[in-house]
Amino acid sequence: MAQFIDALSKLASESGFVSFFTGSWQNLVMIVVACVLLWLGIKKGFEPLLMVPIAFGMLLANLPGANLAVHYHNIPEFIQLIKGELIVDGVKLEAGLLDWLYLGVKAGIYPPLIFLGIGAMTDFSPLIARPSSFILGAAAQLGIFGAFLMAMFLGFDPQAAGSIGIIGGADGPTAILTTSILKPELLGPIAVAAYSYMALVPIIQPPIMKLLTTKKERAVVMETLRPVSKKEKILFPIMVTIVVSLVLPSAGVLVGCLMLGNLLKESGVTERLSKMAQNELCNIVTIMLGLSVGATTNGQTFLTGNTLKIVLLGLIAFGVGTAGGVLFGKLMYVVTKGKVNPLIGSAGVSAVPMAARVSQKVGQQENPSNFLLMHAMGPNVSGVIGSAVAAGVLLAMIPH
Amino acid sequence: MLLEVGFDMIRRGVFESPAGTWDWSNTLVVTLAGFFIVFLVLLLLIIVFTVFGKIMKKVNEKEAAKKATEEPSSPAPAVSGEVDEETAAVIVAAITEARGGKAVVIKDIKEASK
Repeated sequence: MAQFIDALSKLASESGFVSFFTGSWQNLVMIVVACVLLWLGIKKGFEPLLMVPIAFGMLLANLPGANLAVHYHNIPEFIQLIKGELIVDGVKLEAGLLDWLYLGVKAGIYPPLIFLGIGAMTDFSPLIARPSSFILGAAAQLGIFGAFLMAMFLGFDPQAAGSIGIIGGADGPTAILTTSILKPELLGPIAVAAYSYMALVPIIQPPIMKLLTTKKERAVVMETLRPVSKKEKILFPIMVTIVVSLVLPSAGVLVGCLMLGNLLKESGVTERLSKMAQNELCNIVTIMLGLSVGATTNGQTFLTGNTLKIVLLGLIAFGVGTAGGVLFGKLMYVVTKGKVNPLIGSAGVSAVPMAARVSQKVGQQENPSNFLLMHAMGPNVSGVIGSAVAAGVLLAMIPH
Repeated sequence: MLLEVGFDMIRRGVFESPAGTWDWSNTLVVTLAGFFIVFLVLLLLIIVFTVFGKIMKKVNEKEAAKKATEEPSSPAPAVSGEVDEETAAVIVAAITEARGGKAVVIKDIKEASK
């Protein structure tokens, strides 16, 4: 009987429940946070394709005793881990499933593959028809550099500031790639902030758009875009890859994969590959990326004052990016003598197609017969290229 | 390539200073030069694709003109004009026979309608 009670008490003392009261209370808080994020993703539709795997990875990583969290931040540590030589707090760690999945993040493989899928789903015709939309995609990246500057003011080191700034690009894979290289310890909070704000674009953008534009400007009806031939759609991705990669090689991997995906779609001779890239590849990589990124969020690094600062700076980055795009839209309105609606400038943030839909919706509030969606898609897809270029610039200029 | 070399120089000269610390001049360089470089790259894309658009416009116009000139030489339709009454009568008879009826060819429809 005594042995039975001993066995039970030993089992109880090793259970996760006891761990919450013996120094791991942060894990309990993180489990609650994970459940809130799952609710936001499932019930409220906050970028569910990534929010659900990230939140579930967060949940798995914070179950005490399950040892599912990711244990390394760089490749040498991973090699130690698989050799069985990594010891943390006196405990010899073993590589688990999430450690292996995280290797794709750390080696910079998953974000370019997701970009490949995104390229296969994107239609660049509005951008080809109106190349001046590129400038709106550039203007909206002001949020990245604004947030970088503010993060430096708030005491972050340059690598952390660069990782926080990239949230302003409104591009999840770009944010994850940049952070995994510059400051992998912040990957969890930055990924959560980035995807949460992408889902909040319809709430964050309209007040800024209305503040910076007049009713007359918002009611501008733009000329129909010219038709784009198949030849142009095939040459576009090839030319963008060559131009951007020659000027800025560090942006080559993201832009190259984005354009490869688009070429698979537009060439007309690789339909099978295009369908696979849009569906199976994108979905598989999304699960592995989300799960492993979520698994990096442990209570000790997530529940700090820095996370609150990151959340605030992410909001500022989005706001400044939207404002930058709209202001350049106004400049284009003046230069073209009223032919360009400034609202399409806000679509320069990379949240495709959400930001373009917001431009359409705000425009229709002034003029119900105004259809800005296709005009806004130009800056929107240009923003994807712009955020990849901005990431390349940050990776080239910040030591790591 | 030139930009990449420039970045290396900036990184070595500005960031890896003798003191080995990052100061506010570095921050301003990254902020201002970084945004300027993004702007420049996309401005370059605007120039490239504006020129590209003009070239393709001429190419598309030539191809459209070529297609328009090719149309008159397309083969003539299989049937032109109306079918005469005698031919119509034979066709009707053939259809009737195919359906199992008795075929009667009415050569003169006007005569038959009396």
